Amino acid sequence: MTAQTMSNAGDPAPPETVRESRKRSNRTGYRYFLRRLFRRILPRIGAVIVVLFLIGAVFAPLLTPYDPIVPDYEAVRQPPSSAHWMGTDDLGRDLYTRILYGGRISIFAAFIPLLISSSIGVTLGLIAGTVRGPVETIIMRVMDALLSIPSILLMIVIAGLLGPNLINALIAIGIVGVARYARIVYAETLSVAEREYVLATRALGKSTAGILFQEILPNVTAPIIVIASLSIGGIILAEATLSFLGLGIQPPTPSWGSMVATGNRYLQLAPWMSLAPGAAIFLMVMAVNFLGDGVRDALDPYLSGKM
Amino acid sequence: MIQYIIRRLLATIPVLLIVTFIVFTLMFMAPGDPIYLLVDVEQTDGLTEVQMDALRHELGLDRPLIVQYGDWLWHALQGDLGTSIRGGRQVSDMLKSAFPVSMELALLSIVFALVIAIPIGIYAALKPNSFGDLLGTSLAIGGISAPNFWVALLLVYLFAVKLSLLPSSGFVRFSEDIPANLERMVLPVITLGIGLMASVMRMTRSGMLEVMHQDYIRTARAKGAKEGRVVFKHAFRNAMLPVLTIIGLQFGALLGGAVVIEQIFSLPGMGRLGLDAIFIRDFPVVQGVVLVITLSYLTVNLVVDLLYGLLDPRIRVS
Amino acid sequence: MANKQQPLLQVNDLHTYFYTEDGVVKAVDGVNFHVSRGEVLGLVGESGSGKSVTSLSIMRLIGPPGKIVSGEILFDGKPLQTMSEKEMVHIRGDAVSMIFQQPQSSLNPVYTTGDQVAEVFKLHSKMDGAEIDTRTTEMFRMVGIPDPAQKVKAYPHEMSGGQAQRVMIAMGLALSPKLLIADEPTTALDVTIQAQILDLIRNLKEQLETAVILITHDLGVIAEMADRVAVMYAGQIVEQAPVETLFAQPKHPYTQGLLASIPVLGTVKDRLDAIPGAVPNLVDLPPGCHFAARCSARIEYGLDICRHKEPDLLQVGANQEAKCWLYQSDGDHVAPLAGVAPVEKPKAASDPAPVAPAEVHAQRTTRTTTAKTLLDVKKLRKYYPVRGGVMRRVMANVKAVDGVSFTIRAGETLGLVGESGCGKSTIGRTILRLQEPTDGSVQFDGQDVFSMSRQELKGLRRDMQIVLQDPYASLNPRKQIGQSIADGLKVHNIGTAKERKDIIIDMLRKVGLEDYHALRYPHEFSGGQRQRIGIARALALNPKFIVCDEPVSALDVSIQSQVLNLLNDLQDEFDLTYLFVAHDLSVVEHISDRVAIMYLGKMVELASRDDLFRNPLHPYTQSLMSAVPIPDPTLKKERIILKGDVPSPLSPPTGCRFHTRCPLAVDRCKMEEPPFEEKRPDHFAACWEVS
Repeated sequence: MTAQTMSNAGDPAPPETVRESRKRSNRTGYRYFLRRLFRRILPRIGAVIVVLFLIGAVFAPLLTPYDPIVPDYEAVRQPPSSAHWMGTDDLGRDLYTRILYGGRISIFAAFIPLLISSSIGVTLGLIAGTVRGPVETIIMRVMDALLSIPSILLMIVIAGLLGPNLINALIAIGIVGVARYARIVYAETLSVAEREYVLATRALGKSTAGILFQEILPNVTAPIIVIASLSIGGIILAEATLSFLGLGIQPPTPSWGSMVATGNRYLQLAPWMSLAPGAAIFLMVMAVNFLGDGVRDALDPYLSGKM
Repeated sequence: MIQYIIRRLLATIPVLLIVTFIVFTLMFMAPGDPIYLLVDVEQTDGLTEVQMDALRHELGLDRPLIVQYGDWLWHALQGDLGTSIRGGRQVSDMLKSAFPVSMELALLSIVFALVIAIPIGIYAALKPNSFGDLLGTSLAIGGISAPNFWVALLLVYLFAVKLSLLPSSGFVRFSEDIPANLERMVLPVITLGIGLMASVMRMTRSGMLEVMHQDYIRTARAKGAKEGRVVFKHAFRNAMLPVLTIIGLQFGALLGGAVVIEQIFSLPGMGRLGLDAIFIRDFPVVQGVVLVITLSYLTVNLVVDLLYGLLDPRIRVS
Repeated sequence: MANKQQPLLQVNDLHTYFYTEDGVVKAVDGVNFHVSRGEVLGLVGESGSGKSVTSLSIMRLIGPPGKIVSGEILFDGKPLQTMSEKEMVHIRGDAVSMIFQQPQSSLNPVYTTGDQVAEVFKLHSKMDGAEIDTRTTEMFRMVGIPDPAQKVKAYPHEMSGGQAQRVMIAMGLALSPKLLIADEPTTALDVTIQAQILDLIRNLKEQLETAVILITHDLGVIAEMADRVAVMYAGQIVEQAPVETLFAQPKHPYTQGLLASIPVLGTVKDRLDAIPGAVPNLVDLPPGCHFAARCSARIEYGLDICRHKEPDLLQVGANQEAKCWLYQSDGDHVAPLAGVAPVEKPKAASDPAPVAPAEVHAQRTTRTTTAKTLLDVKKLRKYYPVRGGVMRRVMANVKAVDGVSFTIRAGETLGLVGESGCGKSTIGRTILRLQEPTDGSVQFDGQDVFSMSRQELKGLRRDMQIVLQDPYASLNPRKQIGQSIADGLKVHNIGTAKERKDIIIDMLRKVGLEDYHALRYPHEFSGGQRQRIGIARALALNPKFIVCDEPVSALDVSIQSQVLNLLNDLQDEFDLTYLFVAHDLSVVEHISDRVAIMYLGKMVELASRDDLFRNPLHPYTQSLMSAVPIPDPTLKKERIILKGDVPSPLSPPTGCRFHTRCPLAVDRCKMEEPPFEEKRPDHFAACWEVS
């Protein structure tokens, strides 16, 4: 013990500090992230629900004996029963089946707008934050303008004008999300650029591009992940809303939003027709938001710059 | 102060220009002949290609996009937003009658959201990680996650169909019969307010949590202030600052949500006007609705910023 | 008890723990002390020693996840630890009050300062509104705030740090409490303002007969203010003694090490005696004495027991207690110094054990003045525009640096000192063109820095480097430190990957770290280690010149001396030239060959270290030096306390910028700016009153 201390007795770290470092080093990596994510109850619930929905969407044919599209005029608007445990719709189709298949659209379609908004938004934000000058002003003014139109309204306008179908709806949702990423990435870029370690690398002679990709970008990923995970719920909701308004996917393909819209017409006669798919949207979005909230909390030390 | 307001008002000009230009461009990028955006189909029925070209020329559709936009802007500045292609009513008249309906809906929703959200948010912040906090957080996330069209149907089903407590649709103007108007506003206001309620609840909670860790809260305790005084005198006003900001930002979502809600409850507001116009591609009306809604959003945010200055002396100087 | 009467405050075996995710942080781990009526107890320790938690425990202001686990807090005979919150509320702010480190953030931003002082009267007295107003204004006058009737209406953000701390003091002393707890009351303030505030606390405490617990890390402040001192380390009090005894005959090895490691103004040592290592993590402390791992006396006397069993805090001399096995026996263990204690100074005090066997003891005297000029700065100006109005036009300029000229000779260290906002950091950054200058010229090694192209500038970066202040912000959290150090090499295409690796390892060893550290991330290191990494990064390019921008001001005193020694050693080894920017005069005196003093964007004095500190010419330099608290309680020096605050650099005073606060100012100073001229050989100053 004494010998070891002797060798460390100079300026270098004594055993305590080394032990301390070892203890802290397990705070990196994605295992640590997962542990933080699932230490609370709500993200855990969220993860379970999301996984169930995913299984339902992927293995839909194995989980139900019915077809989601072919009408069955013998079984029109039946209330929930042992044969159709969520009831049937106005064309006699099993609602449970349609909800499983509808999940394919509602869940997987969410990733297209996510990609559109994040790729365009992050690029614009980085450009505005690094290039500065008139480019910065123009980009950010346009983003301000986009943000001052209520997003649902803008989506409706874009989707309505491009023509009602799923792809147009997803493009509309994607475009509307751009400004949010651009704003955050822009602000983060500016703030990271002010940090001392960027100053230090500038003093080493590093180029602007080098600073952007090696110093700034890795340090703005955490906020980007956070916005992305928090926005998935909103995207699913937006797709459902557009479908509800008839601006999304067209019949007979099932989607949760359009199912609620159809059910709306039979609210007095067959309330299950709108309540069941609506509940599916609600559950799914809530589960995704529980997860997104957890991701934000788990990444908090990264965000506050302590990591 | 006056200077600040002037600067803010000037700053809204480019935003409005960009917004209207974006919508204008979208209209002309959309598939289909733009002539149908300006003229009722019945009028063009049976016209020959030559006659159509003549009509296009008359309407100025053969000019470059930017010139056409300038033309629209020039008229808009004089208060002329054009006429609807259905029925030929003045767009500005249509907006005048729809605007108060949407504003009433939005303002009542804000009141509803604040009254419920702030107390719950404060409670959750004071007892973080308690069961009540968990419940509040779940409620808040639930509120953000619930599709408003579905909530609307649930409420209608419950209060109108099952319990027959409230009328499910029909509209009476505020100026005509206040109790009847309010009765019909209850369900739309709750539906629209839930999302804002959730945001405000979360913001109140996180704002309070953050403020309670500030140095000046420790000072207040160190001078012997009781916990109630610490919370309501020292923390509350500071914690309300981000809440105010979120109300401003969420006002846009509120106006957007109104599009859907007005449709479901058949309220003759701007959202419904705009949505109907989208479906029949009634361009002048769409452009007018977007303009007015954006303008309201910007105005509300200006008011929010001015209020912010009243609450926070640090902002007043600059 | 030494005192016949009952002490005002008696703390017995206090334990305050924080239950965090990483484990139980034993922030206060068995603390005993007392405060007598009217006395000043200095509680001294580095960050994480538990001194602030101790004070908050007394106030019962520990919130979750913290908890007072056990112990007794007797105030005026009443046990505070068992009091209900309802009773406690009447004690706080009335009989016991507290002031804090960050005065501006400790005041509520949305209420006027007057209202916040008045609140104390509202809470604890039955005065009516008019009487409260009168008393509030009176308190403002008492704490020396100019124009009190107006200032009660000011908001915290409209006040300077010094004024805000005066408001906090007014609040704390409004009801003449029996005990005032001052938690680092002057740490966030500039040294001339610190002198004002300490003076104020001293006067008011006499006037109101208030006892004070003064918490600080600054031994100078302790020596100046305290009657008795308790030294804290890792959650415990390790030594307790009257102030003169503590400074003359420190008993605990930690106290001894601390006293030996600080540079003392007016006492030039070649080398500081550093305490090795860093403060331990309070989560899972090993058994035994908390200081054992860093203790050189333990090695010197070959004590094994320190690693196994904790010593007690026991009497070692008249009124002096220490928690150390050197002075106490237990079982087989015989205390090496037990009998010797009170009379003879322990060996380690006068001649502390060698810390590093292989240490190079360079004889540092000021370097020769004949060396060639490496850096020549002429009439440097840096203005920051302030925009305003409807069109956001430039309304005014913050004149951060306003016409500064100086030279640095090859191989020397020029210390650049001044209070916050004087422009010292801006000079360092502008010289390197990390910020573009407004005007002036810089010649480095014969090249004109300000006219260089981008490409030429890149070449220059190899020769000129910077070490920054904040060790937590100056390393990219996403990069292994090896990558950070290699950055400069890659940018300049120096060496192959293998060679670069060798350079990294070489650099790490040079700054006292280990090879394997190269693969670690910044958060795995302590503040002192990170500062070493920052130095290694600057050094990797083998520069001639390094701007050290407050490199030790964010570090604890025991770590500060390690880094200062390192900078010294590296300068000798690599023939470096430093521009050492700092606000701490003692540190600058220790490390510099020549020293420049700045005030409000202007240089007021420049001379060799010995000339400047022995014979300061400029009244600002003189007052700055007299304001620095000296860690020697026997020294009773005459103090020049400057009035007021530093004026805004937006609209600096006409003539000599210092005239508004200068004790010597005459009419001419208000009109004409004094030239910066050579008053004595190689001794420059800008003052009309110095011939």
